[in-house]
Amino acid sequence: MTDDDAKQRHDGDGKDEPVAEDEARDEDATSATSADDEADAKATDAADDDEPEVAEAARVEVAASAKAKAKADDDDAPAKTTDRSKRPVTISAEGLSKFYGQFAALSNVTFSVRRGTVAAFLGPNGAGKSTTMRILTGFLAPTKGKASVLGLDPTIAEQRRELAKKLGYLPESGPLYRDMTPFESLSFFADVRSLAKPTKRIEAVVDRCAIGSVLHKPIYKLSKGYRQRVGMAQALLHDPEVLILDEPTSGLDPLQIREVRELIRELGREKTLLLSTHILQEVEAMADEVVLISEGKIAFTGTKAKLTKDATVEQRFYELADKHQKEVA
Amino acid sequence: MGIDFKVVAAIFRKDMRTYLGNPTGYVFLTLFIAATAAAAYLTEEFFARNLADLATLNTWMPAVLMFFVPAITMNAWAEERRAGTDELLLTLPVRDTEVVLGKYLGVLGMYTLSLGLSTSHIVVLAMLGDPDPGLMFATYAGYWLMGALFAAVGLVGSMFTMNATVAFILGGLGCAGLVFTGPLPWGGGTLPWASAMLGIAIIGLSSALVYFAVVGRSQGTAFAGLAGGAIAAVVWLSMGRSAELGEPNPFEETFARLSVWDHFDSFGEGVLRLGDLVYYVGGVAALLYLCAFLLGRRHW
Ligand SMILES: Nc1ncnc2c1ncn2[C@@H]1O[C@H](COP(=O)(O)OP(=O)(O)OP(=O)(O)O)[C@@H](O)[C@H]1O
Ligand SMILES: [Mg+2]
Repeated sequence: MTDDDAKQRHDGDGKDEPVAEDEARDEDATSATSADDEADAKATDAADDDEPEVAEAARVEVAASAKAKAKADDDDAPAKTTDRSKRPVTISAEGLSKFYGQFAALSNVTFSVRRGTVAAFLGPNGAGKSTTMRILTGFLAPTKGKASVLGLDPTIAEQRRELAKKLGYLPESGPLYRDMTPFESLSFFADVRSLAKPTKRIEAVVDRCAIGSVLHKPIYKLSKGYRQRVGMAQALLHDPEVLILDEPTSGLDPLQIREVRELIRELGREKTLLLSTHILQEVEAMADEVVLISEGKIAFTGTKAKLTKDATVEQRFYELADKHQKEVA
Repeated sequence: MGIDFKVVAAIFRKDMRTYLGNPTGYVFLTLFIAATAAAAYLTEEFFARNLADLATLNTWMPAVLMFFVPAITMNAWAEERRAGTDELLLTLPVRDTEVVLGKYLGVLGMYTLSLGLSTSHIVVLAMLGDPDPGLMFATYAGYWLMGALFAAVGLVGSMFTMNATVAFILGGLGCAGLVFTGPLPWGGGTLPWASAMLGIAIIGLSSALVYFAVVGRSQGTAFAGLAGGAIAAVVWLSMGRSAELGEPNPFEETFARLSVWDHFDSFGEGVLRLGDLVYYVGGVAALLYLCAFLLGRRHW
């Protein structure tokens, strides 16, 4: 089913979807109350989390998201023009290099992601995915090269600040303030961002990421998957135009992985997403474009269709790894 | 470049909540009251003098604060880095100066709260005798300013590392530098070498800052700092000859002026001097600037 969705999006019929749709769908989702099979499965899973009342809450939430999904499937209007290559570039890296002392974590990394695209950033451990993302978000500065997101230069303090208002970032392994509850954390982020309607936005992302049941539990007591969801809620809080997500599905259970994939596909209609992952099926399921990186160098960039023309993503990935092993030998 | 005080306030509130949402916060407050009470009353001198004032506490306060303030500040930035939350915070629409100010106000808030609770000592004095309100106010203003300066020193220490213990030691050493440069009231006279060390550290750090500001590159900044420190050390030692003839070493003398004692004594006597205020406010401003600079280090 996931593959179908992706295809459908690919061959999209070019109708433009108004931005307001997103909000409307949110509200619809909150009002759903009936439970179904999926909800049961999810509820059992959540009950493992050592809190009995979680089960009931999860039941309602999953019902809600299931209905939202049904609605999304009805929506036969993926918002994309078929020709993605005509859209403006949102994320661009031009000849990025990053040295740690003598060690080159990145060398001459160049790629770009156009608006309304889900780009998967793929590569073995230590390839430089997180480093690239840190540069794009302005947390680190490149040693050489130029990064630009939404036309803003993240190495210039005031431009980075402007960019941060429109950018959602999920850092690797979802760091969070452990002593705070998810609600306190989200309130803090809403405060710092001076959101116009903080309560409404918090409700929306709590619902979206299904963290209602743990909202008032200190984060250090949460399971890894729930922490990851809180991190995701943080990234979505201000309804950003661009999302940079470092391994968004790591630590999630299969149900939640499916939720996140759906979420990402849905977000990808309006927004630009760059996400790193190690899960090859994820690329098949979600991405329009693929950026392959290995040992700090770009090995492939282009559409998923181009990558998988005569091989699966998996074969491509192993080819790449083998090639590098030979180079080292 | 403006400062958005909403951001500063949000960071301040977050940190205060972390301090007070934690048992260690309350242990800290209790220990602070106990330690200052011990310094104020548990000395023979207090009873021997038979005066309802805080003179005995005054001689110990710098030593108490030298340990307590770095204990508050050690986690301020080191913990953000250890937990990786600095990556979240610094990718929000915030300016580095706002982060530094928010962090500083957080530790200052916690210190102010501790000090506020320790005004219970004044209540005790009022029961024992008749303390002079003006003198009490001036003394507490002095304590507050001294702690505010130490908090800035500690915050700098916390910026250097992601290890809280190391941050505590760095902060403690910095405060100790300011305490031991002066004439010590606990006997032992002055420690001229302590003034010299403080001078070398300040000159070293300043040369690194100036180098970076002028050259605009990180490469060689550490070297510039070390070189500055080394030159300062040579200057100090070359001036040291005269000390053997009984003359004070001008290098030591200069930096001995930065001692907190010199700038606290008059508060203890109920006098507020402009020069002392300039010392504390200027010191805090310079140190916070250094913090903002160190925060920018992630881009190197
Ligand atoms: N602070 C640092 N100092 C030195 N080397 C670093 C530092 N941070 C990252 N590196 C190195 O840079 C390289 C790229 O790291 P990066 O975290 O970007 O990889 P990644 O592609 O995200 O890997 P993973 O899939 O494991 O998350 C690695 O070899 C890593 O060891
Ligand atoms: Mg990574």
